[in-house]
Amino acid sequence: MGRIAPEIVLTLLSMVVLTWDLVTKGRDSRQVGYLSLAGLAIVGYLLIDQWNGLRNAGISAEPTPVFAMMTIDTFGIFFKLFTVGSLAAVMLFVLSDKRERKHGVGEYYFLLLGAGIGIFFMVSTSNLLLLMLGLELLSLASYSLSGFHKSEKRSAEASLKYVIFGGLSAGIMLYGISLLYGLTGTIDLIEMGTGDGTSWPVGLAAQFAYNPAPVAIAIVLIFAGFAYKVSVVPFHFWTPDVYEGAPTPVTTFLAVASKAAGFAVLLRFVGLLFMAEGVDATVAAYGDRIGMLLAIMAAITMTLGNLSALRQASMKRMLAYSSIAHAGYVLMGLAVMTPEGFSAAMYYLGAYYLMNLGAFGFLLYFEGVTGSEEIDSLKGMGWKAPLVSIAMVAFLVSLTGLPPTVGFVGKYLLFVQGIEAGYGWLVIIAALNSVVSLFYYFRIAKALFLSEPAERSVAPQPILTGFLAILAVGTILFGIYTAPLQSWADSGTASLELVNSAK
Amino acid sequence: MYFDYLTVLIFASVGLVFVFANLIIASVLRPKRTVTEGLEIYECGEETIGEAWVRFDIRYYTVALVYVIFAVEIAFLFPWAIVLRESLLGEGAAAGLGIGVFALVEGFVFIAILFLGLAYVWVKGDLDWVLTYSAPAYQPPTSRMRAIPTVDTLEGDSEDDSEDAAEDTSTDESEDAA
Amino acid sequence: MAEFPLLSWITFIPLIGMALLLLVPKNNKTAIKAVSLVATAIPLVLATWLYFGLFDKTTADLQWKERVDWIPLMKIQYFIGIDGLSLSLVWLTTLLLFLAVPLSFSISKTPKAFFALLLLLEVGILGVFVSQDYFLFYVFWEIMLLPMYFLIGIWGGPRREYAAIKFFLYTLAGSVLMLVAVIALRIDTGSFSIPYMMDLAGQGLLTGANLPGGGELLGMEFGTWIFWFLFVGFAIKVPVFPFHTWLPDAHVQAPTSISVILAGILLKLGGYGMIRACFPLVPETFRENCSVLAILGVISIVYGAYVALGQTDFKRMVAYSSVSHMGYVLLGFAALTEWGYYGAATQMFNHGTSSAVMFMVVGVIYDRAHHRDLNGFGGIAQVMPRYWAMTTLCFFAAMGLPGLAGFISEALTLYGAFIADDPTFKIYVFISMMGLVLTAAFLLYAIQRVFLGDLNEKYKDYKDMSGREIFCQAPLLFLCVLLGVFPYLLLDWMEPSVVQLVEFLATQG
Repeated sequence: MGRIAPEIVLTLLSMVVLTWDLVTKGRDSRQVGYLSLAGLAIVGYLLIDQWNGLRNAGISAEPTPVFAMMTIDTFGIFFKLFTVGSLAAVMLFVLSDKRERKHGVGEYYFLLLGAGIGIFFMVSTSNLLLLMLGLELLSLASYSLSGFHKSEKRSAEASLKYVIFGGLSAGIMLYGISLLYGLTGTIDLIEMGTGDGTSWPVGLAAQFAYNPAPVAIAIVLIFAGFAYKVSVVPFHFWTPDVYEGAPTPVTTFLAVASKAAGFAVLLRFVGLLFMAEGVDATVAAYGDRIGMLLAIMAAITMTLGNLSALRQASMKRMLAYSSIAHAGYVLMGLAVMTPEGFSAAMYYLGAYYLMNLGAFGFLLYFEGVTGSEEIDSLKGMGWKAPLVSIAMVAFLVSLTGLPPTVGFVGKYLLFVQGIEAGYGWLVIIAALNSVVSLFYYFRIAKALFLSEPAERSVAPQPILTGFLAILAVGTILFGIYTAPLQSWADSGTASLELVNSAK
Repeated sequence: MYFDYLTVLIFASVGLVFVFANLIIASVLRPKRTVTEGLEIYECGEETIGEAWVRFDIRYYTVALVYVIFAVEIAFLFPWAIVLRESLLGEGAAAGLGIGVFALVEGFVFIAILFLGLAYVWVKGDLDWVLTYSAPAYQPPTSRMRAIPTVDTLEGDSEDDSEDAAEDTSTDESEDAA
Repeated sequence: MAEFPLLSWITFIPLIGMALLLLVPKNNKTAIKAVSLVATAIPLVLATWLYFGLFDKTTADLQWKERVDWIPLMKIQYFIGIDGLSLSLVWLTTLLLFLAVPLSFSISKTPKAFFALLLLLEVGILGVFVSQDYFLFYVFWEIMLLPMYFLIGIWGGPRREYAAIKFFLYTLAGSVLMLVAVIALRIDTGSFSIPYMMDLAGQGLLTGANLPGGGELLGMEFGTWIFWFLFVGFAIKVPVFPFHTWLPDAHVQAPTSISVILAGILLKLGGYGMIRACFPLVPETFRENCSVLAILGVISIVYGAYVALGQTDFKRMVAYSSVSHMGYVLLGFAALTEWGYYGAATQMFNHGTSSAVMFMVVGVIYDRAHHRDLNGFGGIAQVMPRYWAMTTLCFFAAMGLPGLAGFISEALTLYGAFIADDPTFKIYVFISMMGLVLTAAFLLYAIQRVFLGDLNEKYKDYKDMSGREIFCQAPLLFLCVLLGVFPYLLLDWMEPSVVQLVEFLATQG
């Protein structure tokens, strides 16, 4: 029981939040917010405790399964910790912004926590059924959240689009899972990967040797579901509209926590199926072909994302496209199909959390100031709110992938893995893409600083400013002193116990 | 090895042929009437009023949704009851797993969460059939790009934010209902 | 070797200055100027001390090395050191940055931000010159871009936004390709140390054997693509002919002091990068492609001069003259003779001084007339005799008049190219001579249009150069004359390094 203490506390917290809101009849939603933050602090403490316990036990320690359903390992805790962090950030956004606070009734926090529970379960299971449940819990909460400003047409539209796309892709994914279950006789990824084919469950290798076509179809169908969640081309169409329509804190959550969780699941899925110890050589070799598929998807995703972002006038939409492009970069780490590549992808996701939380926080800040999310409305604002704007420049530099920021180190690690795995062409595409991305990211810097100082005065928002400043310092600090994040990512990957596939 | 799926192919073909064959046979055999009443949606003698695309009251949906949720949860409780019984009696598949008390507690937690949901719906007024409060008429937004309120414009009402928030939600709901 | 981390101090004192600057209140302009002056003066003093006192000019080895693990997980080290190739450029950097501060005293728009960025820029430039770890080198290389973007973009001319992003995009496009090559080198050698990579290359071991597929990329062999990726990255910075189009825009739009730094130092980074971190790593490919580089160099020389001749914008003309002058550097490198390298290395330094003065000259007249149309002046010599004298001196230095610095470097370069093993180089030298004629033509034509002829009534009451302006130009002009007469002041220091480098490039790999 203690091993799933964070999940239990989070669930209880969401119940308490909902009850509190009912009992007080939503009189002061801020109290609910503070309560949620306090609860998240406890969850964070429990997670760190677990993390230290697992680290002290050494990487050789078995990940501890719970009811044969959940696997508590450092890989999952890595993402859980970042999820808690981004949930807290999103709540902070809601609390610190008067406009959001108007909508910030108790359900806001309840739904965010519910989505968090979904993430917690999906990142720490190798069981496809529980994975699907977690994914759906996250999705359902996200649907409601993105339509939270329901009297706004745009928000309602976003919610509906999200539901339709989400429902469709969940269906496709479930179909793939049921195919896999039918073929192998198990819904557990580890058994699927390592089953020897002599006894039931037979495992993927035997089925694959017997008849590869249905296996390929099943895996591609499941990939389609994941690709939707992390908005990889060609399953990205919902992203800009939903990100634009959803309230900005929710967009932050979708772009950061939800997407990274999707990647966590994808990493575990690909890793356990094709790279786990004891995986059959034919399956491992098939994994390389899957790697090529992922590489092509990565190339298309980053190129399309970046090119579409070039012409966006709305900063929110631009960040949406940029998040698609970043999904492409992370996919590079998967495509190489090595534990080191996974580690690089995890590092990049860590970087992604930091810099995108910052960028969206900045967006929120200036939405409140100018009443618009157009990039042009930022003109000359850099001189009026220098601290926030300089922080934003740090995030932009990091998003572009220039040193000395965490984004650069992340990109560097991905490039190293790409070249080592022989995906030189992909690395060149990615490198050129970062030049393209410079152009649109620096449109923001240009608007902020290169124009004459704006007339408008800026009301101070000390909490948000302080938060952004901390994130900016973190973005630069982790770019110079990379060891902590790197060792976290390495230890997370190590707990998956992957081996280099047959190269 | 692909012949293993021959059965599937045959099954699918037979299914398709069956469907289309029946449609074709029916279109050949059935009497052809051309009176307009025959094309009505309902042939129960009542004349249809208006179109089928009318809007139903939102309250039907709310109640239906609440019903569906609780009906589905019941479906979970049946297997739970069986497992619990097996576990407690020590026979069947769940015997010897030692999950009896745990399953019992778990079941009650499950029901408690459901009750929380019911309480939520109740407090929020979704179980009231007659909506008592009135609301301003819904104003459709004029443009797609919303006007976003700024912090400056909100400066005035700093004290009673929460009141506003509560009112906001109720307003929204009644708009949906209206 | 040395206990005292002198190079780190030189490199990072501007950063300390920047931190102090951020603490100074925005409105205290005197304090801002004072802090910036001191923060740039200390590195200059230290670098001078290093040049004339501490540096051992008898050896080609790296000196003042510092080597500390930075990111052990990735085997990245903080590894810096200098030799004869970088020493003079380090000194030039500290000098020009120091002069750029008084040159920018007239900046009225948030001087605090301006000087802070200027100091950050100095850190980046000095860092590139002293880095011996390729990762560190790359980090500094990129750090330069950001302050440069803002310096051009905020304080530049009317089309500054366009020029700034163009500069940024061009340079980044080059450097991301460089990054790919650097990563491949790192994987192949297992180290980021540039000297270590050179060692391996010298033994013919840098062949991409440790990379999948033998290091082939897009159908190119390892050496080939590494060479071209690195070369293009540096060539954009130089800039070599097909990659030069960012330069006129950036130079013209940038404020005077930034143009000075751009022309004086940033262009040298490209040339320096080639001989430090491109050619020695793939010497064989370099030798195979010498003629291509020479042709590019010759095109730059003639094309730059020819286009400069047609300019009516004073600053644009000077910008194109930079393209032309930097062509000599590439020609000298390609010649692969000691004399060629002496010529190229001194040309980098001398162009650093003469082009810097040229941009200051443009700045002086622009501050008064607020336009730069060459045809709109005339007879300025009558009202500003000191200005005329200094301009003429600097133009003559740029032209390569004997007795002045430009002559030495151009003569050495052309001589070096003439005695190259490849007989076709004689043709290149011949064509470059035409470039010299064109250079003389556009410079004299400019002098004639600005200073001679009838005095335009509008300019009647212009004041001659102020003390501050003279203070900025005089040291550089002095260097032009001094190095024209005593070139050994440069050559002696670089001799061992150049000899070793040329021998390495010509025979190893």
